[in-house]
Amino acid sequence: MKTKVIILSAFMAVLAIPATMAQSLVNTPATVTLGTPLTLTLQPSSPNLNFGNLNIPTSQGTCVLSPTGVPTYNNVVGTSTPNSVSFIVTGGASKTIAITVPSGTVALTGAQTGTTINLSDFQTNLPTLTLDAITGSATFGVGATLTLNPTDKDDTYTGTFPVSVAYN
Amino acid sequence: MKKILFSFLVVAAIAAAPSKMLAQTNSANTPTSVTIINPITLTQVDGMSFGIIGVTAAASGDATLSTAGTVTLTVGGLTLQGGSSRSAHYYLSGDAGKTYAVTLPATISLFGGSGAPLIVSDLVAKCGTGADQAQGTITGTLDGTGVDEIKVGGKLTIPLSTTAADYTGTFPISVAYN
Repeated sequence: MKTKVIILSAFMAVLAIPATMAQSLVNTPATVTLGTPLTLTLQPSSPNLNFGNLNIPTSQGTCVLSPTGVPTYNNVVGTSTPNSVSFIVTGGASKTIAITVPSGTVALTGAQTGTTINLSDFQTNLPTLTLDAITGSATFGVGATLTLNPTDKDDTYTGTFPVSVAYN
Repeated sequence: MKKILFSFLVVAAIAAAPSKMLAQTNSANTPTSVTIINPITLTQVDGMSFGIIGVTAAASGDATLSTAGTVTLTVGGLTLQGGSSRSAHYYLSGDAGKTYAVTLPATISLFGGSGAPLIVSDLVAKCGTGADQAQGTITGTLDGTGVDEIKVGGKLTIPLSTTAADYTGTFPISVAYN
């Protein structure tokens, strides 16, 4: 019996080693970045995405307006000059920001008829941009594609769409 | 090799034992127990990040990071400015079904600006799918396969006139079997 007791004691000594490993410690990083708040305002000289006057097409057509205001007409005739919308963003000098424009479609509603036409394929000329090293500001434009159908009515169509900016 | 060595020691002890000792009453009922355990291991997946917070000279307040990784600001002119906030995230492995305790510091200091460090306090941890638990009372249970996960959040205090900068720090987290 004595022998048995001694053997168990020996095992106890061996097992005492893993017992000290019954704890695990990790040092974890924690971070925050404090920065100048971003502001986003419409450029007074081009505060609206304006497709101008368009004739209703005999079959489906589009007017693609680039972020810099250059129109491309596909089966649609434009009879006045359109313009894209421009924004001024301010924040921390030299900081990089990301711009978010709608990814789906936005409906424009006719003032008289209440019918809708759709804007889609929003694009900006600078999906990410770096704010000026001195002024902390930058400008960017937004364009989109307007789709017209023969069934659309004569009307003035308006709507709004969201644009947001955030630090990268 | 270790086992063999012990066997020799046992034999040697018996051999060296005086015959008088052998004549003593056997201690047949000596209680002896051995618990074999897997070491408990904590592995970090993500560090803690409050993301990017906009401050002005007149801004002050708290930014609370939930264990789900969402930052909520109190009043005081602070604004969320993007960046990806996330709670600290860990995987844990050890003995199936065993309970464990988590130890977190009372505060974390984040250094970076020209002034005093920013302080993160009121740390909370969520073990597995349990509720948030405050420092000092955090316990969890390893699942049937001996794993669990822990997420840690806290409250960042931003005093008046804190300068805009990147602030970083580290904090220790440890786990031990109960």
